[in-house]
Amino acid sequence: VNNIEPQQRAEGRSATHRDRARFVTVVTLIVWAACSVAIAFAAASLEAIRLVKGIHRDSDLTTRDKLSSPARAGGLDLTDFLFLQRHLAGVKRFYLVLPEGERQNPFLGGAARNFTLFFLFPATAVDRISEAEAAVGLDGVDLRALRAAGDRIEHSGDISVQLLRSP
Amino acid sequence: MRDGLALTLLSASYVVIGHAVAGRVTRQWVPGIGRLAIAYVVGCLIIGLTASYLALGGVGLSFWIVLVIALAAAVKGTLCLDLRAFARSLKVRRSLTASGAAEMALVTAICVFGVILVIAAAVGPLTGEDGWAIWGLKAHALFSNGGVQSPVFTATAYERSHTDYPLLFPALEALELRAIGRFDQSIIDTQIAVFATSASLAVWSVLRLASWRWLAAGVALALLGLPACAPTVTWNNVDVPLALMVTLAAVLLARWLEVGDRASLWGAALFLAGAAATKNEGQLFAVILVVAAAIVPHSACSNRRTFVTTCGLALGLAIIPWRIWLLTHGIRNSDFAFSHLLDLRILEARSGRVGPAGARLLAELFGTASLALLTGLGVSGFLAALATGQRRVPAFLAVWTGGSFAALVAAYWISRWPLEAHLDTSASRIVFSLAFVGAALSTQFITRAAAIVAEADRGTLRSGSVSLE
Repeated sequence: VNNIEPQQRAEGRSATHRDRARFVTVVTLIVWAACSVAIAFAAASLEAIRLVKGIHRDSDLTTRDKLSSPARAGGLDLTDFLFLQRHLAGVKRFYLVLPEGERQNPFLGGAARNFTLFFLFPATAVDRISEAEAAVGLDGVDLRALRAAGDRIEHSGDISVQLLRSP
Repeated sequence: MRDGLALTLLSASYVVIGHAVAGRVTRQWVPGIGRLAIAYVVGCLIIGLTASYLALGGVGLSFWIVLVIALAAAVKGTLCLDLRAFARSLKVRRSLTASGAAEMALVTAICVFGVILVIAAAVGPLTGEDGWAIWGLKAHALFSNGGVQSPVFTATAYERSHTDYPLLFPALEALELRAIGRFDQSIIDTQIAVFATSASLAVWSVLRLASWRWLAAGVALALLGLPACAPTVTWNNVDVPLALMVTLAAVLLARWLEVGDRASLWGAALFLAGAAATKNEGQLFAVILVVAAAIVPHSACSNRRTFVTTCGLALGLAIIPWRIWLLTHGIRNSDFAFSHLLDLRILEARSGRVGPAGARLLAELFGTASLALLTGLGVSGFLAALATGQRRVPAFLAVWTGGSFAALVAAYWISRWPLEAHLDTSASRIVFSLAFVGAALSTQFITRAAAIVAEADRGTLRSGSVSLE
């Protein structure tokens, strides 16, 4: 009997340790999961507040402001490339010319990445073409040479689109 | 007002059609709001895939035809919305437990967040670059031309607009534009916002079958509302909807591996098709999901042959028509050529890209506060599962995550673009699926681990007695 008692006590201690470890594991899992959910809730709430502020800001935008969003740079909806399609045969690269002020438009970064190079200008600013050419020249594109190679100008509403053949 | 009515009618049509297809199954699974969400997502996928096929044939699916299909679905009697049961399911139970209250609060938060997201998408101008340059442009082209007979889909000038991306979301957005009768760059992204909100609720509905319900709702809220994810929805990017579809497919496949029920398999097949028809990486994730589910040990009740047939058919229907069209029109992937994976010279010459690409993807997963929360949850759930002897689903997750990560690194390895620029423009969004799937499955792992430990403590371990409260 005296030999068995220490063994039982050891087993009892071991079982207690196991119980404690399991309890700690379960509690840790629950606490960790609950913390994650709480953080997610807080982060989503902050994001919701940011979105609501954006809604207020965007609601105050005038039509003119919206027209100058990247997707509508220079007043033309840039998804509206379709009216260009009849010109695309034989044109490997095409350019839209923007007034210099529009060079700060974040659209330009995207345009350079997505469409070789696009610039756009309103028809009313045709007289500013040299200004635009100078700006384009800064990007290393010799617009005059491209125009000399054979350009066409199309008018669509108040927009002129200049299509140029690839050099 | 007229726009709102038209878009509501279109959304209701998706719900009616989706419910006619999936209602019988979801009625047993989920409460009212989740059932509506699943119906909407399923309806979108069915109509979107149909519209994509028609677009390949040069035909634009009309808004009125969708209404007629919805009407037919309702009249035929396949629609069993059972409004009284739906209303009952929305009622607050008097004996609501603390976890039930937490679940209800979190689901309400998802709905509120979804409403804000949709309004933000509707009010804000289209500022996301890929949002207008890829998705908005294609939707506009489909709206104007009906089908893909336009240089937007075939001319090399549009190569950087990813002419090789599938048409599911542009087709859905074109349908939305047909409903309101004009192109509107503000309204166009509401489709993605509504879809993302519904898919998030669908994730909650499916997760709660095998997880603590409050945890399922919390993770579903995180997938929709974290700052790294939500803004991309209002930019008209499809990355969040794609990741949510991959998550739904993964969760349902995990359920099928355990339970072997046909409903989970069919649901998974539909979401796999949706993911594959959304984006190129969606095809990658979907194929790896199928491979992962095929090679891990199955339960006695899951039939491997049925699985291969069902998922193979779904993926084939989603991928093959589009691939044939690309092939016949000579359109190739603008980022890389898969054949380069077999060219040892190219692989060796570009081997210096592997390390930085892998490191950047890991940095996106663990270094961004939002995604780190999801990734951390996924890792801890995985470890808890391993520690408690869970094997099948953790193995499925490990194979899929490892395979997908390796595939993404391989894509950057053979990419023809400068590595840094390519990573800068894609890495932060391409990892959404990896983070989402891990976090979603972790709810199941953690719930089961806690149950296993608790049951072992009582010495009365019984399988399938997991408390979901």
